[in-house]
Amino acid sequence: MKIAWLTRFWVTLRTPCVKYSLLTVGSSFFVAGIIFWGGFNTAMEATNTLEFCTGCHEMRDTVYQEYKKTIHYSNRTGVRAICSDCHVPKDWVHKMARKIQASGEVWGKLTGVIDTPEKFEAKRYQLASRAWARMVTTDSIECRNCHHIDSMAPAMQTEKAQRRHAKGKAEGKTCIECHFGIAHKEPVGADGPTELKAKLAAGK
Amino acid sequence: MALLEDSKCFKCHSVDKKKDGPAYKEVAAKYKGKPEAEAKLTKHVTQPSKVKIDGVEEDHGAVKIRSEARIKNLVQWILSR
Repeated sequence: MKIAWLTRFWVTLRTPCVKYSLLTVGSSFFVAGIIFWGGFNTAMEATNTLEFCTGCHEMRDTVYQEYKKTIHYSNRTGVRAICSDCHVPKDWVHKMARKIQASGEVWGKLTGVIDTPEKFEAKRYQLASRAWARMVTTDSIECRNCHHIDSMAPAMQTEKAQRRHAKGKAEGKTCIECHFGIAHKEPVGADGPTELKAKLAAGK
Repeated sequence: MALLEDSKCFKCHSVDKKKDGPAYKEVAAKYKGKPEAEAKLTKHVTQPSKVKIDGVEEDHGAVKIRSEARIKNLVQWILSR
């Protein structure tokens, strides 16, 4: 019975359209494609807003409050980096991979794994080390959404920063190895980004 | 913690991880059981000094407040790591 239905459906699909012109069918698919793609990207962008990210109390009452005190939230030039600027890559492939990965966070929300400040604190290192591991793997692609070492003007940096950046570049370091715990409270835990990078490279 | 953040101490120090400056846990371990610890550390965080990083001498910053209570709190926090 089921096979008969599938066969009929397949035959229908394979039968040339006699009622509508190729132009009508083609145009319909073209318009439908635009609507689908536009809708998909609009939905993706909606999940990248500050309002969306801080829509749940788990983020709003903890990391968001910490981030509000940092230079990425408020600064001299008025350029704000919101959650997605640092936690979601800009290019499509990496962005999709991150969005799929983030669907696990929806499960975390539903099951309430960090729904109290105490639970959040208990998980803070695990959450941070996951973000660090991801960033050392992608050469801090999220930082490089805005910051490019080759675009930096060393003369405009302090002597300390110039030395650190030159050393970091020579040692093949990635941004997060030094610039961690800058937007949120640094968690106490065994490994920082550099140690995680070494472990990942060793396949541990 | 807030004073450490405001004074940009975390640029070079971490609580327990490797950065250019020693981790606060290392500092606490170094001063453990030493009666002069609090006085020495208070001087270190309030008066500009020089430190060596990768063989190069650099200025070590100082906290930008004069509240003795807050400085004492900061020093005790570091020593209790």
